[in-house]
Amino acid sequence: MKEIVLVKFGEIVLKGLNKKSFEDLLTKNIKRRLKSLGQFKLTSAQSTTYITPLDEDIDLGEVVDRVSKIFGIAALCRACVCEKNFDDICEKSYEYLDDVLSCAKTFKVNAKRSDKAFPMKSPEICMELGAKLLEKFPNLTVDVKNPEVTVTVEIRDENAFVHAEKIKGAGGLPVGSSGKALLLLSGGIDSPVAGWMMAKRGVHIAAIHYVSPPYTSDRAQLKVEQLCQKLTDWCGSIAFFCVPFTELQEAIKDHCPEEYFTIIMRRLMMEIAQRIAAKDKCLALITGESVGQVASQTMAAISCTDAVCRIPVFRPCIGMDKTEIIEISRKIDTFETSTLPYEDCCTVFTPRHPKVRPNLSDIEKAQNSFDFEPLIQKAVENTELKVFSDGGEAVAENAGINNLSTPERMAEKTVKLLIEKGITISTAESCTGGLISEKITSVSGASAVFELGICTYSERIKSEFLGVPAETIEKYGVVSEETALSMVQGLKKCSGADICVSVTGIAGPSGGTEKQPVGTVYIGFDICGRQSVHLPDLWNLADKSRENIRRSAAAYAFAVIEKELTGR
Amino acid sequence: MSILVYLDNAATTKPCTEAVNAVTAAMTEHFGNPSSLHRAGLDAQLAVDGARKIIADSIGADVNSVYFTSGATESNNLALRGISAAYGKKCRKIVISAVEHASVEETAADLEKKGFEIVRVSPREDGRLYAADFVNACDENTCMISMMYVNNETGYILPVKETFTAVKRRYPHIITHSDCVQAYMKLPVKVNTLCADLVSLSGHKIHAAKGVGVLYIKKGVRVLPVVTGGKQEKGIRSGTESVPLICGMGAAAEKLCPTIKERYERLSQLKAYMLDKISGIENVVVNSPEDASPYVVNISVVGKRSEIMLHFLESKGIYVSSGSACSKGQQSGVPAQFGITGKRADGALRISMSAETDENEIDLLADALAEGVEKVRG
Repeated sequence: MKEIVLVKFGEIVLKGLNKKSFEDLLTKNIKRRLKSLGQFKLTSAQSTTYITPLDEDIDLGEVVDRVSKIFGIAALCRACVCEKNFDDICEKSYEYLDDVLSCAKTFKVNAKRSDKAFPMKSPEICMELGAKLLEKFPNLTVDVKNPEVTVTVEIRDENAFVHAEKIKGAGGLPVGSSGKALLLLSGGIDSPVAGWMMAKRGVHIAAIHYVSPPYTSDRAQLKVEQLCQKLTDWCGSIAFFCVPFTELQEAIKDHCPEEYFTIIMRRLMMEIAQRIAAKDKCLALITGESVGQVASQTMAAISCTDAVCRIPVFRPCIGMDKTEIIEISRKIDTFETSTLPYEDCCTVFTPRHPKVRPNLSDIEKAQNSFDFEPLIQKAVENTELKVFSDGGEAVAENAGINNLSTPERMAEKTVKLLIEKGITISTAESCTGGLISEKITSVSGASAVFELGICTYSERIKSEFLGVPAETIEKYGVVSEETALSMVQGLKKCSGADICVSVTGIAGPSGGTEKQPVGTVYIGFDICGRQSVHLPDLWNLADKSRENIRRSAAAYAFAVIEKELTGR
Repeated sequence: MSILVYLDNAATTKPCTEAVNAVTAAMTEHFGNPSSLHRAGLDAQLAVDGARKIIADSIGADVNSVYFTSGATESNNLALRGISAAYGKKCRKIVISAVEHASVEETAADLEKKGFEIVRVSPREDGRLYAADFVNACDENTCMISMMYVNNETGYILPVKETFTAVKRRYPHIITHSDCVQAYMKLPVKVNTLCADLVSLSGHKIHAAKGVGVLYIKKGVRVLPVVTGGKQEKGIRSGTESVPLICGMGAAAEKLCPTIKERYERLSQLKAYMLDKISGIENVVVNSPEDASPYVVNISVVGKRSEIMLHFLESKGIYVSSGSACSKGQQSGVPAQFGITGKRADGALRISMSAETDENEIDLLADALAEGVEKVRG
């Protein structure tokens, strides 16, 4: 018996002319979320999206579980595919619904006939199938008002579907439809909930966390990373910024009155967060504050903190009780991790008697007694970035794109590693124009590992040499994940090297669009059979010159290979 | 002895290189105590959590639902005792199958002495267990049901999924436990598909070391600890985690998990090959049902006592088992449940294969069996 998952979109069906872009985004989110489970076909018709598993042993329970956590979906259900004739519908219903119907008491049948060519009309289907099911399951009686089980038959263009159990979707808007915001993630119960609530409204979340070794431990940071990973089930990939905060906290402790410690610390956190937000194209900050919960969350304290903010700060938990917040954190499965007992940056140096109603001018005076700016700059510079992707571990990790090492140094490290491990490499470059192969061959001894380096600049050459299908380029564009993947696959075929790298992107200064700004560079990898495409956020580089984008792309490619080879 | 044909993999398996290496690495590199606050402690904790993740993924479970124990016997004890302690005040009844391993059966018998009502569901005349019989044995007063997935003596695959789904539908409060020791890494074991709240696994049956096991506890299910102390494993199982053995189990699971299906198919062919080879031998009957796990084949040499036959095969370098190894030759009563009685029970041998078993070894076994049937008296 063939089973599929039916998905009904939520709020976005009410959208006007831009509805299509919401739908596309949601479809993309679903595809990405299911990718690791196997092959699926997604089709949309009549306000329903059908997820058809193409591989045999796909766990549909897992599919439903994942899809039920994708924002933008109102409802979903597993359904059995039937042929479009009444007998088959009856037969399949008996078998498919046996579990549910054999222990239910009341039921009704609902029919939706969108294919008007089907010989029976909806009420007719309801009556006939209802009668058949009553016959088959003597334990049932019909209750049209309040049935335990509603059996739904949908007669669509290609097939008919039968289902009985509707599952509530996550609601909200597709993640990414409302822009990006930076979540201040402490490790407590509230902040993951706040992030989740904003993601529900379509906001793509990035997270920032402050660490203060030795006052905070590695375990505390790991705990927050775990929270990030949990949130990706709902929020998609999350860029996680980890800010070294010790020196700033020590400076506050040394130079400011104890009672103001927390407020000034929060002001500095906000300041750093805004600078990271600007770098990462986040339009707002998100915090888990709830009014009156602790001293730093009184209205007076919040207004003192907000005085340093130049972008909106969203506080979705602001009017919630702790119990309500806990309820959500249990639902999204962050509660257990949040309550692990590690000291976090917010609890370091907490004053014994914090100011409950601070006065802004007092705070500013206290803060101005010391020049925090150099320390703030240093913290921002040394911020580390990790990216958590949905359903997987941290994927790309680098010391911030602005802090990548030079491609020369990276090439030297990487080539040495390749020689040491006897692994061969090939490259197919577009916008980097042979930079990667040039850097590889600059290292002495490269001949032992370097197989082939081609510069496939034009679309024609990409197709002819690497076998990138013209349709792929036409459909997704020459600068796209699909093209980069196809390039690396073609390169693998013709070179047979252990590691293959492909690059296609926009190095600027011209050629950028709103959707694909200058710095959009897709880098495809086939690392010993494992294929992936990376999109480093080179558009966030401080220096967006053509030269720097090309060099950074090359350095990034080396960094990924090095990471794979050293298993870090 | 020049040749060694090890066909007692249901008793224990030979640790794989990956597991041995992981154990060694853990003992030399991650020797810290996972509870220590410093980096050495964290390293050990991360090593344990890495193994936990692998095992969780392999059974389709959340990583926080996997608890390490000293082995499946402890896991089974923890499951039965922990659940009966947490839920047994009101619900005094426990339903188990009559063909369970001693670690479930004896624990249940102990709980019986302490005032619990134990219902043991037996196979019907055809030697098979039926979900309906289990459901009928359950009632409002039942706190848990425990049912192994694959029987260790015959390889019979119990209808766990059908039973647990039906029980849960009728009595959502009943906690379901499955001893999946002989199924893990041989059949797909997915906790959600099985509808199991608790699952016991063993390390040394999957080519890892002895002394490590797992109890999966579904989130929200309350299990009271049997061992108390330093509150390791979230207080469910105190005692410093055996980092090396846990890492070994993780490594073995990681190695075996991708090949469950293909190994099952290969072993099915190998089982068919074996049955074909031994079917011609006089007085040899097959006790395992046709659709049993191919890893375990139970046969009887009617008229020859199994222990003698076992030692005869041993003299040829072939190691098999009589009955369940845990009962050291004592008849466990389980074969009788499957209708294996009298002379058939006396002559029962368990041949249990692994992925490494090949046709050549089966040939040696078949030849030795034939010779034994001829030579051994009584």
